[in-house]
Parts: sequence; C-alpha cells; structure tokens
Amino acid sequence: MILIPAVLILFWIVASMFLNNKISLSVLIYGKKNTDYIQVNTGKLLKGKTINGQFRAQDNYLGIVILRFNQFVKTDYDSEDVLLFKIREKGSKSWQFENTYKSGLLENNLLFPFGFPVFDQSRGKIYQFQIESLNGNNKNAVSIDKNNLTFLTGYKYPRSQILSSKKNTIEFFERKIITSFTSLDFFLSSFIYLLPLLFYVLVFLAYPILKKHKSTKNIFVAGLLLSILIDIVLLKEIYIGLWIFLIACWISCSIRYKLESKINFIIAFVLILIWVLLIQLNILDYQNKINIWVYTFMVIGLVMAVLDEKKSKK
Amino acid sequence: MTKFNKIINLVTIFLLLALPYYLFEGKLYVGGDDTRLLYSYPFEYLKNFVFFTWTNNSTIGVDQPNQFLVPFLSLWSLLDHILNNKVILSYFAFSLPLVSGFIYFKKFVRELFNLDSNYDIELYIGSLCFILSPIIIFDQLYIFLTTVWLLGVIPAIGYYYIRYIKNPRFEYIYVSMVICLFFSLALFSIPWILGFLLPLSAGAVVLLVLSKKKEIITVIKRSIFFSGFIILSQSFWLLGFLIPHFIHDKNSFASRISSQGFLDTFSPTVLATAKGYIIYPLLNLFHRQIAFDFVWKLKDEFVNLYDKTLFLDLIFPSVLLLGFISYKRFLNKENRKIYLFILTSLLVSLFLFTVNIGPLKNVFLSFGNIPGFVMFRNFYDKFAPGYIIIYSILVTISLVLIKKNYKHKYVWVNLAIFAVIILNFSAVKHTVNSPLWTTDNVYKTITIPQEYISFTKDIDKKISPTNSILSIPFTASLYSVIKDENSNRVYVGTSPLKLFSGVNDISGDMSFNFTSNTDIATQMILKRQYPKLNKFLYDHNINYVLVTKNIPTPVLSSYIFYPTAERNQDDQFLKAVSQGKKILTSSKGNYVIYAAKKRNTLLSSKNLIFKKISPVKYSLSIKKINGQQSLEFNDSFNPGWKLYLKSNSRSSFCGDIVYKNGNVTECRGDFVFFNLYDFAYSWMKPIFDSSHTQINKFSNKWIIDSEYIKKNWNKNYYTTNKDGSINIELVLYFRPQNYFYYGVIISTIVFLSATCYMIYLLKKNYE
Repeated sequence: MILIPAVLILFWIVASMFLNNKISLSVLIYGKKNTDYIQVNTGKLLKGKTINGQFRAQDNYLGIVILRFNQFVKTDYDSEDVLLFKIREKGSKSWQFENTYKSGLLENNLLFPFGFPVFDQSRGKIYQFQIESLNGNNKNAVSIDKNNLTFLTGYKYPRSQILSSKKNTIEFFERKIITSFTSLDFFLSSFIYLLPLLFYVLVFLAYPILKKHKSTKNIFVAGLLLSILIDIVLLKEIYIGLWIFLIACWISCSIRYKLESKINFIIAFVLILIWVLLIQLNILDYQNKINIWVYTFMVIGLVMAVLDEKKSKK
Repeated sequence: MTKFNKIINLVTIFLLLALPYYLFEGKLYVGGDDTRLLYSYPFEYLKNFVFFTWTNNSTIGVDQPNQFLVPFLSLWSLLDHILNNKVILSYFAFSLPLVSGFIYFKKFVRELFNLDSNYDIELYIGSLCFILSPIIIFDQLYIFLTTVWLLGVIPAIGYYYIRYIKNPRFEYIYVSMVICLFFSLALFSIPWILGFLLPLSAGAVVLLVLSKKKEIITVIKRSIFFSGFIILSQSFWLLGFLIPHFIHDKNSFASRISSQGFLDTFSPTVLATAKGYIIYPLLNLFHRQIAFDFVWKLKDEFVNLYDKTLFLDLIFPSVLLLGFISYKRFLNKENRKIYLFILTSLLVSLFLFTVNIGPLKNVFLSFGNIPGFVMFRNFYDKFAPGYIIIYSILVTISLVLIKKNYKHKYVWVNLAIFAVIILNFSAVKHTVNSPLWTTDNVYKTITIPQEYISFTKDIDKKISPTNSILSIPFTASLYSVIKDENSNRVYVGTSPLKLFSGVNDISGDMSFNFTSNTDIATQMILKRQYPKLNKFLYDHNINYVLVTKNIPTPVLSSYIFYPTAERNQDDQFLKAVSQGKKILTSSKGNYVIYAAKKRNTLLSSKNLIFKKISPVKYSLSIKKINGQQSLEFNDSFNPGWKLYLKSNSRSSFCGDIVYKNGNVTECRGDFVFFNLYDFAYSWMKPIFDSSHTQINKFSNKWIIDSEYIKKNWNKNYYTTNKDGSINIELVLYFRPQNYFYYGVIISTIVFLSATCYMIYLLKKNYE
C-alpha cells in the first residue's frame, strides 16, 4: 500500500531534478531575501529609464539574475526595445559585465534569466545590477510588476566541485532539493512528474469517495472550475503537468456526474466572451491561458459528444 | 428556389462580378510572386512558359513543370481573343473564383446535409460567410495567387464527390474531371489542398468510429474510384511534378523544397509566426498578432475596424454554440455523424491554422520531422482556405439548426450575422488595393505603359533568347518595378521581361533560387567587388544590363531593395559591369540596355555551332575534334540534360548567324514545339554522360572525346577530316520533358475513355 506511492514520490523528485529543462541540474536557485531590493521608479521601462537592484549572494558561483516581466504586446523585430543589463560587486567602480537583449526575447520567457560569467567566491557579497532601456517607447516598452515582484538569483556550480567529494555531492543535492521544492515555480514545473502519483491517488482514493457521495457534484464541479480559473488568473506560466491533471480531473468529473458535452462548449464560449471583454479593457495578461482553455474545453466537449453518439447507437 | 432567392443570388453574382471594378478602378491588379499577368496576357504566358519542364522566369534555369497551366491558359487565351480587353479579362479572373465559390459552396453544403429549399437563406448566408470572410480577404484576395481558384474548385469537387458517394453515377466523376482539367492551376496548390484534406482526414476518424463496417468499405471504394480518375486525368502535369520527388533530381523544384536549407526554415518560421490565438479565427478573423509583428497592411484594418467591432464578431461563436446545443435534437442520425465529423475537422483545422495553443505548439514543431511537412511552415497561410471552408460549413448548418430550434427568432440571427459579414467585408478595398508594403501611398494597380511594352518588343527582336539580362536596380527578391504611365503607381512582382520579350532576366537575389549563389551578387554589389562580379555575370551567361530609371523614390526605399546595395548601383557600378555602349533605349528613355563587360554564350566549346530549338532542346555541331575537349552549357546544372550523337550530319547546319564569338557561333534556330522523335530520347543511350559535371558551382560541363566516338560509333555518326579530327552533330535534350508527353498520353487516354463511356451512358439513357 505504501510502496507504490513511495516509488511514485521518489520518481517525482528524481525526474524533476534530472529532467527539468528549465533549470540545469548544476544550478541552485534562491529567492529574494528581505535585505535585497529592486528599485523600480517607472511603470513602463521607457528609453533611458532603469531598474536597479541590489542583493546579497546566498551561495558561491553566482551566474544568473532572474526577473519576472509583465505580459506585453511584442512589436515587430525592428521596433523592439533593447535592454542593457549590467552587474557588479558593490564598491566596484565599473560594471563587471554588460550585455544587451532584444525585448522580443522576453515574449515567451517572461521569467527572464540574465546570465553572466560566474562569480566564484560570491557567497555573502553584495551585488548591484541595472537594466536600462535603450529604445523603449510607449509601444515597445516592457515593465515589471512592482506588486508581484519575482526576483531570483542562480548559482552555477562547476561539475568538478559537485563531484569533488562524497560530502560535497550530498551537500549539493541536499541544497538542490530544498531550494527547488521551496520554489512554487519549480514545484509547478515538476507537476508533470507528479502525475502518476496524482492519478494513483485519484483512482484509488478520491474516486471511491466521489462514488459514495453523489451530493458532492456541485462542490467538485465548482472546485475544478475554480482551480482552472486560478490557473488562468494567478499562474502566468503554462505548467503542462498541472494542465493535464486538471483536464483529467474534469473528464473524470464529467464521466462521474454525466455532465452534458454542451457544458464544455458553453464554458468555452464564456471564456471567449471574457477574452474579448479583457481585450477591450486592454488587459492582456490572461490571453494565452484563456486561449488554451477554450481549445481544451472544445476538444473535451467534442470527444464527449462523439462518445455519446457512439453510445446512443448501441 | 423561390423567385426572391433567385433574384438575390443573381444580384450577389452581379455584385461579385462588379467587385474588381470598384476595387481597382480600371487598372490592372498585377504583380506579386506569380505576376497575375497570366490573367491579362494569357497567350504570352502560354507561349513563353508553360509547355516546357525546363523554365526560367527571372531565375536561373530550373526543372519546374508548369504544364498545369496549359488548359486554363488555352481557355483564357480564347476568352482574350473574344473579349479583346485586358482589364475585363483580368477582372473576370478576379471574380470567377468568388462566384464559383458562392454557387458551389451552397450546393456542397446542401448535398452534405440533404437540406431542402426551406434553408436557402441559411445556405446563402453561409456561402457569404465563406467567400467574404476577412480570412479570405487577407489570405487569398490580397495575395491573389493561383490558390485562389481553390475557393471555387474545392466546393465544386466536394459537391460532386458527395453526390457520387450517395449515388455512384459516372457523370459526377466526368464533370469533376473536366473542372479539374481547366482549373488544374488550382490543383497545383497542393499544400493548400492538403491544408483542407488533413483536418478532414483527422475528422474522418469520427466517421470510422460511428459508421458500420459495410458503409465504410463502400465509401472507401467509391472515394478511391473517384479520386483515381481525377488523379489519372491530371497526369499531364502530375507525372512531371511527382517524378523529381522520387529520383531526387538536383536543381529541381522538388530538391529545393527538400533541401536542408529549406528544411531548416521550418522551426524558426513557425516559432516566429505562431503568436496568434484561436479566438480570432473563431470570430472569423485572421490572426491579429502576426499582422502586428510583421507590420502587415492587415494591422491597419484591425486598428480601424476589427478591433472596434470585436463584440459584434461574437455572433459567430454564438451561432456555433447554439448550433451545438441543438444538433442532437434536430439532426437525424446520418447528419449527426456528419456534423460531428465537420466539428472535429474544424478543431483540428483551428489548431493547424493557429499552432499557438500552449503545449500543442511543440506537437506541431515535432511534425516538422515528417518528410514533406515543411511545406506547412507558413501554416497561417496553408491552412487558411481549408479552415474557412470547414468553419463556414459549420456556421451554415448551425444557422439551419437555429432556424429549426428558434422558429420565431431565427430571422434576427440571420439578419445580424449577415450584417456582420458585410461589415467585415467592408475592409476589402483598403486591404486588397493597398499601398505597397513599407510605403505609404504607392499603389500596385497599374496600366502597363506602352513604353515598356514597345521596349520589350525591341528586346525580342534584337537579343537572342539564349542570353540573360541583369536587371538593375537589383532587388532582394526576383522582382522588377514598372512605373505606371501617368502616376506613381507601380507594378511590383516577378520580372515580366521574359513574358513580353522571351528573354530571361536576373532581377534579384531569389533569381538564384535557394542555391548557394542566392545573395552572392548582392554582396559583390555591396562590397563593389567588380572583377568578381563580372566573372560571376560571365559564368551565368548574363550578357546585358537593363537599367530602369523611373522607379519612384518611396519604392527604392521599400522592402524590395537593400538600401545600401541600391545606392551602390550608381554610375561607377554601371561603368564597371557594362561596356558603356547602349544597345537599346526605350522611347522615353526610362529603360536602357547596355552590353555587359564580357560576353559569354549559352553553350561554349572549341569550333562549336549551336542553335536553340526549344527551351529543352539544342542542336550542336562541333568541328575538328581531335582528342578531348570540354563542352560547357552555361545554365543551371541538372543531370536531366543529356547529349545524344546524331547520325548523318549535315553540311548546312547553320542558316542565319545570330552571334559569333571566337570559336562559338550561334545560329537562328527554328522553334519546334514537339518532334515525335523526342520520345526516343527516353530510351536512347546518351553520350558522355559520365563526364557530365558541375562547374562554377552552377553550370554543366561535358568532356567530348573524339577517340571514344571513333571507337564506339560507326561512321554514320561523324565525318573525318584530313588531319584525323572529326566533325559531329549532337542534340542537347532535357530528358524530364518526356514525362510531360507521357502524362499527356495518359490524360488523353483517360479523357477519351471517359468521354466514350459518357456517350455510351447517354445513348443508353436515351434509348
């Protein structure tokens, strides 16, 4: 009874660490500490405006600063803004690294990693960085959500350091597990590897309960729709594992409570309506997620309709 | 059909015929990749391009069978002869796909769902939804390539196919064959046809699930029979089109689209353009984001109209939703199956037309590994016509279901959707007759100036078609710019020089297709590397330079030209690449031709006399061959070019001399379209084939060996001179041309048999 869930949990942890294509295995990601700050004096990052930040490195081998940008409408390539990223150790007179990035790169990567040559002995030292817009205007400028600031730092350990001794290896992986699974983004990204466990729980634990308590229909349907709404509104990234899990739950719910296929099309239509409304209000953050869920509901509705038709034939 | 319905149908057809007069105000709508000149100058097109498999239309030579245009151009030439008015003729070509789409779409949907005349209005609105869709405006009418004919051909063939599936009468196949024959130019748009058929194939899975085995087998059998006849009847172009795909002919259009360079463009193109959302196509609109990303003209239409009327467009998904709610109740079993089949096809089509649906984008990218799928890299274009046909079918049946379900309110829905369709179509003039991309007010509809026409006639008289001309200013594509007689309007499209004069020109980077030479000329112009450039021109048999002097300034700064390269084509450039001697000047001086610095000939060898018989055949006479010598054919390398030794060589090989350059003499050849003896080249053994190699990374070279001839051929094939050297006659022939002849034979047999069978059936029915 315990063995299968334990194996599935182990699979989740191992697969998340080794197969994660977002963060390399040798990179440790840390969140912002209280003493760190980012100074954003501007809404849109217009030409000449800057975002300034300062943080204390939490480990050695500092090599990445990650910031979350707001959704924006990408202009054509030639009109894109150019962002100049600079970083230095506090006290240093000049910037130790500078690089430029076309703003279009951020479009599909709003949680954007600014990489730079690794600072080997960085632990405990204070670093300052600056992002400056070189061509920003009202059409192409990017911005950072001051109220929902995501600021991470990454530390890229050399392979030789990780494997130098048994102790170092264990210590590294200990820190890797802690830093990874305490990050919501990592957790949600790893959801795809959690699916076997979740389906196991769904089939062997949740479904029998659902079967017994028919009155739970409204709660479950509403709960699931709420979860989808949360996915659309709160989670800006697309987490495939979570998407598949929610689809599986919705299909299970539809089968269990014999929901009509047209419900799916009605939900899809309501989402289209919301999408059009948000566009009119120039709220663009949720476009992509609504786009995905509209299609998802239509496909589910279609599959259910075909199955209904097949059944009715019999 | 009631009298009222007849009248509105006739009025609609009249309006569709009048549409180009409103859009283009009496000017020709020409330009673009296929020039659209074939609709106003069909005979010139027929004469210069379509019969031969080896073609060059402002490009280096390429194995590209264009014979699919033969039936249409023959028909259109006849119309040209009758109408004798280029504008009326080309406007009729603009309207005809819309008119036929309008007529046949109704018939198709009526047949698909067995609808009676009670639903004429819904069918009418559905067909308007199809042909007047903003997706059609932008994806088809604005570009107006030959794919536009699919708007009429797909519904027409769909209609006869459904009729045949229901009632297997041969006449449906026969009519389809005739339609496909005259509009085979539409069938050449294979990616767009597949863009329609792929979603339907996916949707057919639903039919397989819901149908009985016996029904499935019957449909499959009839489908094979129906499509088999159509495919066989199209052999005249299909054979030449398909074979290069199997034999991997170098330098053919097939090798171009399967080249690594082309394959590598799949992912970057998809990633750069898959930015749209499914909601816009569901609202019957083209993808908005791509228009903004690439600053298309469509962007203005969104800003000025579609963004403001987005709420009104909700009528389309509303209709689809109401249709779905009602389908179970109001459709019979058979129609429910078809409804679900169309709905499935729509969702698949929506995905393929959009791609950007979260994780499904990666699924589409992985399709890039399927051989041939690279043809869908411009998915937003290839799947657009298919999507809108399927979408409009669903809208139509949804309107029918609404009528059945809401007996008193359906009229309002019909009125509302009709109004939105018309409102959306109101953007047509701004979109189709819009300024040249990246210019503000240079329009693309023109009257071709008499000065240009006369000038090309002079070229025809003075320059042999075996030469190539360098057109400058050199463009980023293979375009030329011709300015209107009295305004700043321009023709911008594939250079029409060959169409009017019969002489090919090299007008831009893409004139070199996707070869490694694609941007070399531009680089040499940019870096002013004149000795290298002159050698390059010589190697490519470019012997003249055509300068166009009246290109409007905004066009020179447009996307057509590389700004620096354009600036570098100045007097210094002209002095460096030409002899400075004017060969021809147009009446007003806007077009001038100079001789290139160093002249070459299409064929070169020691003591060579040659003449052009046709674009695929040259006669050669080489005298005094003693040992080995090379023979160069300065057109693109292709293994399909073969040399054949002729017996009984003549003493009077040459009549009029066209040009003499040292050892090489070009004579005037008598054009022979087809000689029965050409068939023999299919099985005759070519000579010196093993020595056929590529030189200058471009052209053909053979090694001619007199000893080999003496040893292996009898004396009928050569004459011997006193010094022991020999004289021979050769034929240089492009062997893949014979695929066309074989195809014509197959198509003729199929058509003759089908016609005989039809006559027999008619006679039988009469008796």
